[in-house]
Amino acid sequence: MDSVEGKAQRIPLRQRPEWSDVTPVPQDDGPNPVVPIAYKEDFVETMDYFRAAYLADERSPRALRLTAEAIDMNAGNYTSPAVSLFHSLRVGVERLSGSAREEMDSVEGKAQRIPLRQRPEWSDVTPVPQDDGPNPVVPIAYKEDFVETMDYFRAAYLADERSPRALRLTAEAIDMNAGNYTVWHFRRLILEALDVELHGELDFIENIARSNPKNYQIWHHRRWVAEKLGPDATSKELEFTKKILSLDAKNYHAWSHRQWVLRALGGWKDELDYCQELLEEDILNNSAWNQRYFVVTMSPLLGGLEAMRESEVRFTVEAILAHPENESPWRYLRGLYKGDTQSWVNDPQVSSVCLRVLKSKNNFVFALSMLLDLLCHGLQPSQEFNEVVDDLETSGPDQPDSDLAKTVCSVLERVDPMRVNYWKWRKSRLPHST
Amino acid sequence: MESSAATTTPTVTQRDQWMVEYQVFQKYELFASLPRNAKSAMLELQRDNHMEYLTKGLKRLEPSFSVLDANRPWLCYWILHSIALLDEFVESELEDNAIEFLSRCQDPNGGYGGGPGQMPHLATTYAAVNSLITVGGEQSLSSINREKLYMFLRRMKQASGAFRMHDAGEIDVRACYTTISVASVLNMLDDELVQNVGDYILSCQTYEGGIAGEPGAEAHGGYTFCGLATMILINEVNRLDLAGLLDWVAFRQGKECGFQGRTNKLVDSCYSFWQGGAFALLQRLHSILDEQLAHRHSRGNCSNDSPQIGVASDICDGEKGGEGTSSQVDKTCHFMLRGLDASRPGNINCIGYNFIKQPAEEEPLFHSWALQQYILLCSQDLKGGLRDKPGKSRDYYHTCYSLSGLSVCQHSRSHDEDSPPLPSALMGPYSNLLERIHPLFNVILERYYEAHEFFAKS
Ligand SMILES: [Zn+2]
Repeated sequence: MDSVEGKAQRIPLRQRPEWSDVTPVPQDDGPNPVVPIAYKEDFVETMDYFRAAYLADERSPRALRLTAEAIDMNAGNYTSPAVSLFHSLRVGVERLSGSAREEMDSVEGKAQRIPLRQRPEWSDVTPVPQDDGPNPVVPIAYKEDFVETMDYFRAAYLADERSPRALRLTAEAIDMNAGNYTVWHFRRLILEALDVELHGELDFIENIARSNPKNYQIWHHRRWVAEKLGPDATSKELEFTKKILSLDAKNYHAWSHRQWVLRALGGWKDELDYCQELLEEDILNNSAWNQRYFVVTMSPLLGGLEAMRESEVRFTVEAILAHPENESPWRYLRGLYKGDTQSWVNDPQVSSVCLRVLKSKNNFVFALSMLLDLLCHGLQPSQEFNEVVDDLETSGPDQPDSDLAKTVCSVLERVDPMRVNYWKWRKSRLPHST
Repeated sequence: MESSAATTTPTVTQRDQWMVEYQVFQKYELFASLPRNAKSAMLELQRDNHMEYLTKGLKRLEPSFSVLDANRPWLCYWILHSIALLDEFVESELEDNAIEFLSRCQDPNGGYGGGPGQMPHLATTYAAVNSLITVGGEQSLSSINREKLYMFLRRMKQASGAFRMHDAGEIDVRACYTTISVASVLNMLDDELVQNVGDYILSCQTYEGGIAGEPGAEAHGGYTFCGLATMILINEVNRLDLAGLLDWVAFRQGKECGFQGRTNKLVDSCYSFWQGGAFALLQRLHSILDEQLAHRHSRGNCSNDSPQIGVASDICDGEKGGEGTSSQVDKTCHFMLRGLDASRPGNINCIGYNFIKQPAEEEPLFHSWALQQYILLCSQDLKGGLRDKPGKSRDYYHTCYSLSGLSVCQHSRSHDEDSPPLPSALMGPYSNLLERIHPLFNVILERYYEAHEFFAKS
């Protein structure tokens, strides 16, 4: 699992004869990118060659190998066998980049780990082995260090020993498996019992999070600590989530944590600007759109959805016109009228953005889909709508449906074949009198 | 208006998407270029290799699995359920070992932990219970300490109606689903557990139409399945905006033919079940969907503004908790979920049973053929096991949920549970046929019936 494309001794692409004929294409980040990512050199080089191959549409064996390398490097890519319940819940054995590993190893002195049984500090404790029974299923061939650490952990846990050495032991156990919620839970009990100053705990979490950004336990623990620290923690938490999101702008846990911080501790002032930055960087980032919705509806500083609607509609319409194939602003636009369907149906800005996209005859599936919803909610279509939709309905030459909603469904069935059953169903459920 | 994406810098989303598209389409192009016999070989489910991979995991896991040391009941479930989907057998000794091992994960005060001696956790409790149902038989089913388990579920209940994953653990939609699923299948769902769960799930349905893990978060396939299944099991599904949910989930199937988990994210085989399973549920909710649409039309208004008809608390004033229904099951398992007629008394624990007996809409509303293509050509590792997407390694989680999704596809057009699907519903040879699942619980349907009957008596 760790040997994909021999990453260990990666040879730079520019030194491989096979790629000598290709000029890499650098990323056009502009002179002052927002939230620039400090890419590793290997990553930059791979992506530059990938862009070259992609733009040339080179469908060759070497290009295939290159995509494998590129995917292998992508920040959202974990090669772990590890998950719990859903995909995004993966606990990663994400390969650590060199520098991160060095830092990790210096934490808790992992590099030259001294066995617990040789540490005088633990000499009074008898380790408790795992009660796996004689013939366990899914037995894991643990490494010796792992077994020993967990055996001592069990001893401390069963004795309910809330001591400094037990606290250090939980750190070692977490470092070996950050998904063990029992260890995290016991750690919290100890932190409370010893009344430990918790700012240091934030650094501990940050170190662990670097290699496990998608692990539930870390984020739950982080929330617990931040809650104890109160409003003092606000800016640090916002910074921390920002850092995680700069590596993966769609990390579900990071967004949940950020929302919790805003709600529980505050810090709303710059949040809309932050959403704006992320969307300028990647207008397809649906998590940023979702956060924008959260801010617009929840921020105590903005006056709520209705007060914000006009400016938000303007922003969203612009985003749609720039990328009508982008689903996010379409759903966002609909969301801006949540609970007030009548305004949505009657707002000329809504029908006009549909019309403009339909007239372009390009990437119009979401425009048609919204038009259909509008019609189902009572929109009286203008003649222009009838004309532009008839124009798109190329299949039936001479008998255009008198019912616009029906025609819309027919066009969708044809241009959006992945959802053909859905559009047929929608057609079968149209109100009888439109 | 149209800016050519090739001339401007692609965003991270576009870059990642294009890389995946490139790999997926390469697979499809290769497939299209093959002669007929090679094509059918490529579409074949590699049963022997999958079995080898699965059985190996039951017997030994590499040290890298230490990061899953707190998820061992999950490993049991992913593997045992995959084997059951393939309708293959596990040596009876291994089954005994599984029962024995899971008993060691069972906490003396109820619930199952991630391994022996770990705290009980709702997710691993769900995985352990589903594993034991999958193994089936008296010894397996009676190894669950129901009374203690019920106490554990109650301890996790919060005033808001939601549940914590474990003592002082996180609260989210998964916790609601795993609790309600386990309680329902063990015939111990009651007012106390159900109270306000619906309010919590409802607060997680987002403006996009899907359901998020927590209020305010982004709509997500896994949570959408969990939230929808929970609402069905507590008989409050009519409170969700189902038309909005259906529209959102319909758009999650992309040109790669598989499902993505969220808007503008990458295709991933595990959503074959989370999203595909939501379709299997929606296929049996048409009367409620129609009701919501009629309401929308008559008001010239939208279901966002939430019609609210029928609530669970009206219904389940009959039996409660573990004091079960004995052989009344068949008599009481009648009306719930028939349209909106929620006013008649009935046993809330029978909803899972009645649900699967509901007539389903004939055609699923997703593209079953396309999804099968993605699973077989893109997520199958010919050496055994299934993966998220091309370029990733196989793992037990994606094996389980890809196969579960494949089963949903294959059975999505059979109206009658007793008649096997037509060969035309299956992509690839008929030997690809998998066992049918109960989509609310994701266990093999027959094993569900066995468990339902068993626990109705206890
Ligand atoms: Zn996945």
